[in-house]
Amino acid sequence: MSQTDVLVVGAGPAGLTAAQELGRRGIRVTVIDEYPTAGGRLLGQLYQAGDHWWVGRQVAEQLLSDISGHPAVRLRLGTSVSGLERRDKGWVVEDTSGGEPAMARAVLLATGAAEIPIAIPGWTLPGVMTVGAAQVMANVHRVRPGQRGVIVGLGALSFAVAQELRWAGVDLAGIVMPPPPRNGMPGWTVEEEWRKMAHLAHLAPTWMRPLSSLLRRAGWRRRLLAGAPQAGVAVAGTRLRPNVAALAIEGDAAVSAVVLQRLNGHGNLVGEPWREAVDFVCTSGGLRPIPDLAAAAGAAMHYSWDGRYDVPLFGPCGDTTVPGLYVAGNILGIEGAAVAMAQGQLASVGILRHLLGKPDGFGPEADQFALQLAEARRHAPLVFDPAWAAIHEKVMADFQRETREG
Amino acid sequence: MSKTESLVVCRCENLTWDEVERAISELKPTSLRQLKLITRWGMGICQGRVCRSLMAMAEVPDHAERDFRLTVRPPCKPIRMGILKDAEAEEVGEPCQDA
Repeated sequence: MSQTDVLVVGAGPAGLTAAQELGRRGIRVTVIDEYPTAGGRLLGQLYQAGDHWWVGRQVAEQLLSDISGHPAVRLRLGTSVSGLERRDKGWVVEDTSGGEPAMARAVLLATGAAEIPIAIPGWTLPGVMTVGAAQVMANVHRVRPGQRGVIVGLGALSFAVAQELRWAGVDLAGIVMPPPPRNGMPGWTVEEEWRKMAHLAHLAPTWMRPLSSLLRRAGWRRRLLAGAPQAGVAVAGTRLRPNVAALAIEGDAAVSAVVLQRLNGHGNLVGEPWREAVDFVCTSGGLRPIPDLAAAAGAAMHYSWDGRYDVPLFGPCGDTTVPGLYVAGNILGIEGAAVAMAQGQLASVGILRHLLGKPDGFGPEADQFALQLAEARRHAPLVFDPAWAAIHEKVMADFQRETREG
Repeated sequence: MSKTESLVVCRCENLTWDEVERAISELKPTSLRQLKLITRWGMGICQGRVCRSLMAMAEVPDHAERDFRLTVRPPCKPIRMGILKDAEAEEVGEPCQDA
């Protein structure tokens, strides 16, 4: 059985930052990732933040170059972790390679997030993909997802990917809403989609920004969004069409059209549906953390009714309720890469304390990294979902209670 | 134009929302877990990684207990059958002879 001090699951911004911090101190670290290239979501990120560009691929290359200076850090790519088992104060980590399981004294779960699908008739046709998949095609593989597409949903990535597709020379019919749910079908209401608008308004053209405070009020929001022109409002290199819903995707062997219909101020369908020709569709249902390994390893969890906010309870240094099991990055909630990196730094402190048996050690480092986390949040280019701040407070309070009682 | 009966909610098992509704009204599952076992929703190759959020959002009728905590159990990723065979051989303590 191969032995290591720390096994990191996920080679994204959180996992690589933690590995770098630990490797710098000579701790033996193995980073496992299912993708053949390290970097996680950094590989596809490209946006303008204030006066500088965030080029995720360069951030990943910098991290990897730092790590290459620490021989104690090993990368194992193209392998998924399938299970964790606590044994002899350490962890047995099983993976999909079929080789011998690895033994580690501590495990860091930096498994990131998954996209939430939007199920509308025709969503299984070739040419329908999530916005994240379109981002990987365009920015990682440099392949256009199609000639003309449409984005369905106001997920966190809608605007960023719309802009990136525009830069890639892809034509978009705009960003439209998912249809209102009916017959008990799974989905969110149009009102819920619209509520996200208020938090994305800073991305809108300058003349629209004064409207953002109005968008926070339900009555105004309805009036403004229902009254938008059917062709939409220019945002992020495309057109946002808040009062148009995608009812279905059509095509024989692949996507050929999207069926659209107007929404009124109550989020109900009105008028006659019409078709627009597209050869690809991006669904943007938002992101959810992937806490599976934490739950399977027995960490106490916070659950949500729709599974969107399921996260392990965690402490200030990424500690879970299970000794030797740590968490960082989007497994804790959907935030940007800079936040994930600061969480990776904090988790490295938690892990060092555990390995060296110094529960109160590394105080100055912990304080510094906590400050960096607060800074990263303050300068975040966008708040993916304002619900996370309150959930984090509750989850961290529950963690304190659990660990005190335990 | 938007036919709900053709709405696929589980791609791996090719399960439609229409079939889910029929299972709910005819067999009256009392939890999401029961609904899953009846319809095989989320039990295909992706093991719910794509459709689990859809499943959690499905409105279960009044007679059903709102049990959204579908438990996570290892293996958390699809693995080859051979890995299970080897693990079993190890536990039983017999040498694993490949046929």
